[in-house]
Amino acid sequence: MTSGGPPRFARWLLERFGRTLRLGSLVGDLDEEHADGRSRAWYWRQVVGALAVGYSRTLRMHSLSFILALAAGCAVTIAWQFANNLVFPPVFHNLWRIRQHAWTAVAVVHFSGLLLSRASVFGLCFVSAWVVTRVHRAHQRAVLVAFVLALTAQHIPWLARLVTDLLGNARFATYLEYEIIGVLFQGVFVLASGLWAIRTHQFSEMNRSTRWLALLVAGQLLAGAMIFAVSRVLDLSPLRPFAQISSLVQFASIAYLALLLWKRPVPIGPDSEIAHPQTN
Amino acid sequence: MKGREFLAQHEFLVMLAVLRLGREAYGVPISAEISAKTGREMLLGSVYDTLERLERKGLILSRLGEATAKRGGRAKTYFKLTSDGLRELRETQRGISALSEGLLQLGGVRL
Repeated sequence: MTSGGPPRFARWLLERFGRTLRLGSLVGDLDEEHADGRSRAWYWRQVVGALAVGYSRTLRMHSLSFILALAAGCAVTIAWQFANNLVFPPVFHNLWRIRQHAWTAVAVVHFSGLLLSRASVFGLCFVSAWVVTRVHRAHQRAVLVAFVLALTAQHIPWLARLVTDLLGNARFATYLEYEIIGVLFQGVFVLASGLWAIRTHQFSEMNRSTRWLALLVAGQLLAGAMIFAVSRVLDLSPLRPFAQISSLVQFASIAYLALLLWKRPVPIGPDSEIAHPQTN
Repeated sequence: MKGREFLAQHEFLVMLAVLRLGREAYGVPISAEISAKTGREMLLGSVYDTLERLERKGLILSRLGEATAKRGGRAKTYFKLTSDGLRELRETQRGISALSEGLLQLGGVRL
């Protein structure tokens, strides 16, 4: 007999992320072997091996729709970026002229345009996450996380460039800060959007804290867009620190919402590989 | 079985181990039997993955066994070959034997 129980974290990892139908029996076998004298290192090796085997099988069985889902999400993002570059640049141009004549009709149009620009960003994030999770239904969370990572990875070259520039000139610190916040914000918002899109309960059936948090996030996004538009149109520099704090609060709220949505139990659905095993 | 498919190497090994173990065929002994007879370790995760695949193909059957405190209260799952499984195993073995026949290299003898 070995002293102490089996590695709890390893067992938790296997129970939480293992993909075999006979997970209980597998864990029981590992516990039995450990109790009979196998080392913790052996236990860990078996757990890592079981996870690797399970996920490589899943990838083999569903790789095509998985890749299609990521491609569809990226296509939506690229199409939006293309459309955005056509539609919104005029809104951002000549803002300095409007600042001299605030609250004119032109300023209001620019203000609305800025709001629309923000709304389109959030809309894009939601739509792209929705598309990804609909194209690959078998493992919606996994494909969503992969999509978030893919989106984040797209920013790496630009972030690396800013870091290099920062070494030569300290003023790039601000740009780097904005870029990092933007990347994190995008990632967490896409994640929360995707989890919202694949939730198994209606809004009214969700628990109270999740419902209130969702409403708070919606309110924050609206308020954040307003602050952004006002600060850009009127160049209200005193609003900048407030805008930064607002962004951080929004980020924290969305991240917490994503966590709550992630923790909700997801029943095995008709598309699940576990419910309907496929012969490969 | 729906179509004619060759057994993969892992499937072949696991089915042979299940056959050898008889009523005692569950994850740990199957893995141990393969290690003992082939000298190569087969991870338990890989054993269960193969067993799942074989069960989907209708080549083996499973039944839940006893749960013990040593196993954290989790039941064992025992496996046995179906008649289709046994037939498939025989045919695979026959095929391997036929292909191997006359190949002196496999006996360690020069060409």
